[in-house]
Amino acid sequence: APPPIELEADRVEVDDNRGVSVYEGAVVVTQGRRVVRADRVVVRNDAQGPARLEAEGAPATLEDVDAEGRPLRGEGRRIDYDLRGEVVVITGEARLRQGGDRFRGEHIEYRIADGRIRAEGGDARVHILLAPREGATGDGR
Amino acid sequence: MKRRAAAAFLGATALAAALLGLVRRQEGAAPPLPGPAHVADWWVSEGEAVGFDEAGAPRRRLRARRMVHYRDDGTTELDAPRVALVDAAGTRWRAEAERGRLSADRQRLRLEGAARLERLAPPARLDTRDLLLELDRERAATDAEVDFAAPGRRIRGRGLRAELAGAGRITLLAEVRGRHEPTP
Repeated sequence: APPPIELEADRVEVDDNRGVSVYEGAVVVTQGRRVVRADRVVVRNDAQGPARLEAEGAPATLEDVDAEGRPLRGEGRRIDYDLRGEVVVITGEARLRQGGDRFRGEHIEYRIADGRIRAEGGDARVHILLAPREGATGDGR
Repeated sequence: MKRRAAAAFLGATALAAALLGLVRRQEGAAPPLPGPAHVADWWVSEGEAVGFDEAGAPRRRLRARRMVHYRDDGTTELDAPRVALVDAAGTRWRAEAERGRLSADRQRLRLEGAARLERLAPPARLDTRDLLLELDRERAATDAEVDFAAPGRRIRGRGLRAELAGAGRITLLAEVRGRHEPTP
């Protein structure tokens, strides 16, 4: 089961007719070392607890440390976080920096378990800047 | 140095005397206005009042250790009130407090002191103080600290506006701290 998430905000509306809690105003979501900051965050609950988190901001940001201990920072107009599948999707002028590597596009998917990233450009192209790995040999082995 | 301290003391004493005089003069100025005394016309121990809808179905049940009704303003003071909001499916919400006051039109119940609002299904409870219940409109409000707990969720804040229709919609107005975790 995913670790608990803690939230701070100016206000919240808990609507158990729809199974959502909507946090608004300087929202900070913390889950272990993972931090999401946004203007508005919807937490979708089901019988097993929180299932999904939808953050919107200008931009909404994600800070984390990936599976290999590299700092990770993402931002976009929207961040969707599947809490059980442990997949984060950033959309809307999406940017992601993982260690020295940088990704920019309309849709960036980050798999928390293995740190894998998939980026899509939408109308524009995806921009990727890969930093040389320390200690890597010249032919990439 | 001593002369300045003495002067300051005398000044303060004169100011105090002036203020005291003002207060005394105000007390004696206006005799209490005549009007109906706030006198109880009936009281009940361990009483229960039931509110029905137009179709005659019970919609709310109010119990209290002691109910004291006042003729002059029509209000009812309650000791240890417990209210249940009921619908066709049974009791949905319950509320209780140390004391309470029911308005003359029996629409507004002010739960005073520590108050608890509970939803039976799905289970949830909300602890706060000085909770106002609008019975017919099925609403609740307070400006006090609020502690909401349901399986997998714990949310605290200050200030509440709640719609109690169905499973309910609860808004906390400031200083919100929430914790969401998988349900056991």
